[in-house]
Amino acid sequence: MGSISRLDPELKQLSELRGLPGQEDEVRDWLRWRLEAASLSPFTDSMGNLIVPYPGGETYRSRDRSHAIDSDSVFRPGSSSIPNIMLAAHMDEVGLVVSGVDESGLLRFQTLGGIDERVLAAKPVLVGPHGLPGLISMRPFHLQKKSEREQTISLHDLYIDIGARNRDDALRWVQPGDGVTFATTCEPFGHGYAKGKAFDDRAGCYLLYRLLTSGIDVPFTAVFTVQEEVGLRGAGTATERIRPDLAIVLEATTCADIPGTPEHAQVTRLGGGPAFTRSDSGAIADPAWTERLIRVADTHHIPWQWKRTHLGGNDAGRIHVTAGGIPSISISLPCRYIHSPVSVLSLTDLEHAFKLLRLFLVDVVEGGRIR
Amino acid sequence: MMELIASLSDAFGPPGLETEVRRTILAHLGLSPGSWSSDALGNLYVTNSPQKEVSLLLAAPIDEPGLFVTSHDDQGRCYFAPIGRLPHDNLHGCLAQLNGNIKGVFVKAGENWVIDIGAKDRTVAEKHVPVGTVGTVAASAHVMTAAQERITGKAMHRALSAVLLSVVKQTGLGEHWVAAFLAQQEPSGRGARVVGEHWRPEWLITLELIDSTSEEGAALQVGAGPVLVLRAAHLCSDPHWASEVVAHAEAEHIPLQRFAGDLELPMSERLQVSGQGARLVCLGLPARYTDRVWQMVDLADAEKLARLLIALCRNSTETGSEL
Repeated sequence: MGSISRLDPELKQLSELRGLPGQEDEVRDWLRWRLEAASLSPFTDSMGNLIVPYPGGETYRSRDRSHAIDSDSVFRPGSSSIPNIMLAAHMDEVGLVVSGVDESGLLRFQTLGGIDERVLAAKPVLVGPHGLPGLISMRPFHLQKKSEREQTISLHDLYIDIGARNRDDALRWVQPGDGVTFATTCEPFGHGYAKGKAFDDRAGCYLLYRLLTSGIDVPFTAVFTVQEEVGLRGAGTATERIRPDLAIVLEATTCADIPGTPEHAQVTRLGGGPAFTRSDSGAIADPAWTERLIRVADTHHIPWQWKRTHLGGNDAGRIHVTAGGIPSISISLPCRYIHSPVSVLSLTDLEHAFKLLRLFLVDVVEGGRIR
Repeated sequence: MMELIASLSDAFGPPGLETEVRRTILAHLGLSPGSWSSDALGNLYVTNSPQKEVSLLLAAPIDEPGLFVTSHDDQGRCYFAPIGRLPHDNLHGCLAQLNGNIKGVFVKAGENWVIDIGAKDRTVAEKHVPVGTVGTVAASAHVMTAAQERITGKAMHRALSAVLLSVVKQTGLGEHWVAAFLAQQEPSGRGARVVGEHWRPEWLITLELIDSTSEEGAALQVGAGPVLVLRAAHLCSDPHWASEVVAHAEAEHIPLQRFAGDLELPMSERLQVSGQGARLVCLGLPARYTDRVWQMVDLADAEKLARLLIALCRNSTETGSEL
């Protein structure tokens, strides 16, 4: 694969696909079609996870593929046989769900996943299975009392306008329970950045998809998980099925290198390289594998950074306590304005993450020896 | 047992990095590699029993609240994020231990807690304690001079591991039971989540510290005997088995203090519902100041709890799975 410092049309497509928790069909279909075209055999489990066994190349075909364990029954750096590696990225994105329709045809809604309600006003959205255009609105500035203007915006103040004449007209097109996604196009942005929606975690999906189609020799199992944003639900069942020796979660994470944020509160920095997790609200990254990941990055002069907070979490939170406990690590892409209608990532970070991922996988199956 | 409690409490063991605690435990038991195992989360298991024949699992926690360094300022001080329930309200002036051997002092800088490692500037601090460095509170255990039978330290919940070790030492490795030393309990009982699935025991005994200085534990007294937790915030001890435990305690002339309250006990709660679930009895040591840097337990309580567990384990060995 060549450089991805320019916006890859496939990343743009992945970002713009609609995939609310439990409704990841568009993303799953996009991936499945392309992976089948690449002669792989993806399948979907009962939760909706897309699981892709990747057989690897000739180099490792003749090697022992029994699950590699050492004296304490856990696969650790230095083991010699080829481990069962699971790579996971989640397909779902945060969004909204229609909760009701009022007499004037305006839609009331709730959030799906963690969203700061204050950033929603005046954002274009796509409503329902057919992507009906809508606009999140609130009472105009001129009609608000002074006291109202000083209050924080809450969901109670917001509604979605789909241009319906009245309630009956709206109900012809939209039903309570319909999902709502942000209508944000993905575009190149500034110096080597991209802006778009759902980089959390389509950027991880993109990395995993590129890895599957890159011709890498190392065998592994890819899982595009579902319902991460509402409780890490898909990752658990996929892990129970695969029972890997090592799990690597590919994610997007908070980036707070913005004005007004003191240095000690900057979780990650855009352009600082992929972020590694020590501990977050859901998991403590396996220390031995994290140190190995750092060694690979340092050996190959790939910039990286720590995720410098214990807040937030990802599928590793479920994976590491499933199937008797799975050593798990995360490689995350810093993203500004995560969990909002638009976010920003560095294409250079993406490129570094991809390079690191390939090198790390080879390192793992080579027994943890740096080459 | 006092020396063992002290060495366990002093060991460096933030969540996920409990290696030093495991080493201390294994060194004390002098076990060969075949008689213990661990899992991906760092839980340590000691038994003579094949996996499918364990009927009873005894569990004690081994980690402690930790932290990791997140950034530095121009004065060479380190900002950090907690791993688990770090006692923030009591940190001021306490010592920190970073990477196991670098010391620092917790101080408040405006709204934030920082660790001063004595670095003259940011560059020196970054060199010695880079971002990502893991640490804990540093507080060496002390036997209390006023009452020689009590001990204080930073991780007195490891007195429960000392109790469990005492049981293993005196009864030998379990034929039908496993001693489980649980890692990563501080962040919401994560180690416990995988234990039940691994062993699938029918019976569980969890060991916890119960705070006698909290509102919930006001009726408890340190030195008045072990605690039988009948009910906590999210668990109930099995009433029939709890009765059996009481009967064993009476037969051994061990006073039991009973506790029922809204205390959060993540390890026991997670264990009870992990795997296919198990009948649980939660036993504890009364302790002072469990949410502070220094906690205190009584040696006589620990010894009595060990005697009670030995009686229960011998009963398990004699009756197999028919507890």
